[in-house]
Amino acid sequence: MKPERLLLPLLLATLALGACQVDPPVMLLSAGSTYAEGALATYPGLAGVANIDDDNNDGTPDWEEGGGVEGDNERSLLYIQPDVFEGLRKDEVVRLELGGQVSRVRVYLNDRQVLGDAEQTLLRYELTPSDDELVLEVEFREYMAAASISLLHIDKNGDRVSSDTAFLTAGPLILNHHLQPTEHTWVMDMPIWGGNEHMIDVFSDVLGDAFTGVPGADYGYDVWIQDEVQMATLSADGQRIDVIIDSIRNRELDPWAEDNFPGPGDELVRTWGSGPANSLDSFGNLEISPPVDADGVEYPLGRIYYGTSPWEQIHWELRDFLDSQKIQAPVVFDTSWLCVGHIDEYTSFVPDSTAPRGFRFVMADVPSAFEVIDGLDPAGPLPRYEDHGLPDVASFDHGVRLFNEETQEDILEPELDKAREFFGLAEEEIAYLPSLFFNETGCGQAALIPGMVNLIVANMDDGSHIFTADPFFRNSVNPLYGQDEDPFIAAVEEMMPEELELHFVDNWEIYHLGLGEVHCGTNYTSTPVRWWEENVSHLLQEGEE
Amino acid sequence: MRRLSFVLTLLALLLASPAHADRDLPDQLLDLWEHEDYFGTLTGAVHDTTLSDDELAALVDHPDWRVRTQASIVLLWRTDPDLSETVWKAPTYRGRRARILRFAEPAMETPEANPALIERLLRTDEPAKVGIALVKLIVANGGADEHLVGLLGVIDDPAVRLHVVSNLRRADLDQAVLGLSLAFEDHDPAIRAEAARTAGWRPDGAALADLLLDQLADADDEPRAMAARALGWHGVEAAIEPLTALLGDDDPAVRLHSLRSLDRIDSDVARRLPTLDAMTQDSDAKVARVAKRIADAR
Repeated sequence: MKPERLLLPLLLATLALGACQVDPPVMLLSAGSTYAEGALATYPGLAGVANIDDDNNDGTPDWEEGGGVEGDNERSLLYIQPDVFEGLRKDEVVRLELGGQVSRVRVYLNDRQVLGDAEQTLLRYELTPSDDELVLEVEFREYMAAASISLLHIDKNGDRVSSDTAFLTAGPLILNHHLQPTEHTWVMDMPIWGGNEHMIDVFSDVLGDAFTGVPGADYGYDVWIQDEVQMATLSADGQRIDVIIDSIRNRELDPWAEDNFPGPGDELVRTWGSGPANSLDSFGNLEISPPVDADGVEYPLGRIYYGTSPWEQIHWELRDFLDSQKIQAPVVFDTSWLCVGHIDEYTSFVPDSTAPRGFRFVMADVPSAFEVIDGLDPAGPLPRYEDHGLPDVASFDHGVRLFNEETQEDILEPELDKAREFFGLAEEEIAYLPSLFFNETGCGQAALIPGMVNLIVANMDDGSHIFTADPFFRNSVNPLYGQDEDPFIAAVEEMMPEELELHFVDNWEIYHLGLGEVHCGTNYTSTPVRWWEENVSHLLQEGEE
Repeated sequence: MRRLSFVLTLLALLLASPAHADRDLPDQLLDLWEHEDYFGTLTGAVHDTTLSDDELAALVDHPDWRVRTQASIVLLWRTDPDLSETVWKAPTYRGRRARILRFAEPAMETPEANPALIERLLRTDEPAKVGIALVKLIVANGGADEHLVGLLGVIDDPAVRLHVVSNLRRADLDQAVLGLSLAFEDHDPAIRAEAARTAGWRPDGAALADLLLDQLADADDEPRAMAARALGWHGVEAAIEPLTALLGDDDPAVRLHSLRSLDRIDSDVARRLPTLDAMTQDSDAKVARVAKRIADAR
C-alpha cells in the first residue's frame, strides 16, 4: 500500500480523537454560507477541484505551474474570522498546521503560498493578527487529494487554548447518472444510409437549443456518439471542470470531444488506456445508477456499472481508475451473451418521483413482450420486420419464442438478480420493459424488437423526457403513422412512470439494423451533483485500511 | 485490381472468336465457372454473338445450380452491365457495430442483383465479413431458396459458410433439408452446431429429427448441445433416452439443453429424473437454475 493511502485513515482517527478528548468544538474556520455548520470538521470538509486544467492555455496543467496562473479559478476558499485574535497575549500565537496529503495541496494567504507542496513542504504558518477576515485559498493537485488544516491558538507553554480543523478534499471524478438535470444533448445528423431525420426532428422539437445535431459528414458518419465519450465532472462550490472521458475506441468520432470541448480551462478530454480497443471499451458499456443503498451501504452518487466477459474487458487502466474514485463503487455485469456486449442493451434507470428512491430500474423482459404478442392477430403484417425475416405476428413464434424464453431464464433473470444485489432493488422499483432478442450469427445476441430499454433520459425544466426507439410493431414503416396503434408503444407507456414524457423515434435503419439503439446514438452533459453535501465519507475511506 | 484485369481482357477479347462454340451451353458455362482465367473467359461469353440471350435465359431451370447461376451472371452482364458494375464497385461501410459490415447501395437490394452479388462473393478475395454482408443481401433479396444450398457447396471460408447455414432458416423445407444435411456433415464443428441451431429454429425442423439424434453423439460439445436443444424445441420423444444419457455430459451447455429439452418433451419425465436433485447443485449456475425450476414444479 502506498504510504499516502495510509494517511487518510490515520488523519481521520487522529482528528476524531483530538476532537473528542482535547478541545471543545470551537468554530474558527468557515467556508461560506453554502456549507452547513460543522461541515468542515467532518469528511470531506472543504471540497475542491483538482487544478488540472489549463486556464492559460500554455499546454501545462495549472498545478504544475506552481499556482497563480492567470485566470485560474480552481481554488476553494476558507475564512478565518478576526475574533480568533481577540485576547491574544503577547507570548501566544495563532498558527496554521497542515496534515494529511500535504504534498497534494497548496494553501495561499493574500496570494502568497503559506502551506503545502513546495521545494520544502510547508507544514506550519504563524498568522499575523489582523482586524480583518482572512481568506485562505486552497489549491488541489489531483482527484481525491485529502488533507486537513488546523487553526491553533497556542499559549506560552505550547498548550492549545483553542483550535479548529477543517478537512480539505478534492472531488473524485463523478460520472453522471439519469436523475441529474440535463444540460445539452447531441445526436449525429445522418443524411445518408436511410437517414435519421425523424430522430433529429424529435430531439430538436423537444429540447430546442439544448440539442445539437452533429453533422455526420464531419466524423465519417460514425453515429455511435455514446460509445466515444463518457461525460463526467469535477466539482466543488462554485467550481466545475467538465471531464470528457474519451474512449480508446478511436473511430471516426474520436476528434469530436476535442472539437466540442476545447477548453483549455474548465473542460478536459482525458483517456485512460491505450492500444487496440474491444467493444466493451465503448461507453454504451459504462453506466451509472442513481443514488442507491445496497447491503447496508449508501451510495449517494450512485454506482458505476458495466459489462464484462471472460474474453474481453474494459481496458484495465480505466477500470483501475474508476475503482480508485470509490465514491461510485463500480459493479460488473456479464454482457458476454451479447454481440455488441454493452450494458445499455438490457438495463437502464428512469426518474420517478413516486418511486421509493425516485427512480425505476428498467430491465429488458421477455414475458412482457409475449404478453403483448399473444394478444395480437397472428396475421398482422409487420413490414419493418421483413429485415429480420419475420414478416408478420405469426412469425414471432416457435424459434423466436423458445430462444427468448431461454434468454430470459439463463441470462436476464440471473442478471436481474445481480442488479437487485448491486442496487438494493425492491420489486416495486423494477420496471419490466417488453424486449426480444435474436442471435446475430457468429457474434451473439442483439435486440430483435428495437431495444427500447436502450433509452435516453433528458431531465429538463418542463419535466423528464425519454427518447427511445419506435418499435414499429405495426403495419407501418413510417414513424409518423400508427404510433398510437402500436401495441408495444402502448405497453411501454403503460409500464413507464406516468410523469415521463415518452418520445418514440425512428432509429430503425441506421441504429437498430446497425446493432444499436437510441442511447447508443446520443450523448449529453448534466449538471453536477453537490457531492460534498452528501454522505460520502464511508465510501472515500473504503479500502484505505 | 481484378476489375482492371477484367476490362483489359474484355478489350482483348472483343475481336476474338467464341471460345467454346463447339460444346453445349451448360458445359461451356461449367467450364467458365471453373476456368482459371474466369474474367477473361466471362468476357468472351458476354460478347459471344453466337450465344443468344434466349439460350441463356432458358437455363434458369437447369438442375445444376452452377449452370443456372453462371447463365444468369452472363445474362446480367449483357442486359444490365451497370448493375453488375455497381455491385462490384459498391463499398462496404462499418455502420454496424461489432465490426459487422453493411452495404449502402440501394441497387444491390433487388433480386436482379443476386447474380452479381454471387459473382462478387465467389470471385474476389475480400475478407469474410464482406462475404457475410453479401450473403445477407442475397437472402434479403429473396435468394434463400435458389442459392443457399449451392453456395454451401462452393464457399470455403467457414465464417461465410456459417451464415449460409444460418440463413437456411429462411429457405423452404426442401432446400433447408438439403442444405442442413450437408451442414451436419461439415468438418467444422461450428457449422454442425449452426445446422442444429437452424433446424431447431425452423417450425418444420422436426423433419430433421433423425439427423439431430445422430448429432447427439457428435465428438464436439457445441453440436451436441445445439442438437439437444433443437430436439427439445421440436418435442421429439425419441430423444428422451439419449438426452437422459447426456445429463452427465462434461460440457455444461450439453447438460443444460438436455435437461431443458427433457422438460419440454415430457415434463413428467424431467420431474422424475433420479439425478434432478443433484443437478440443482450443478457446478454450472444455469444448469442448477433450470433443475431447480423443474424440481420446484414437482
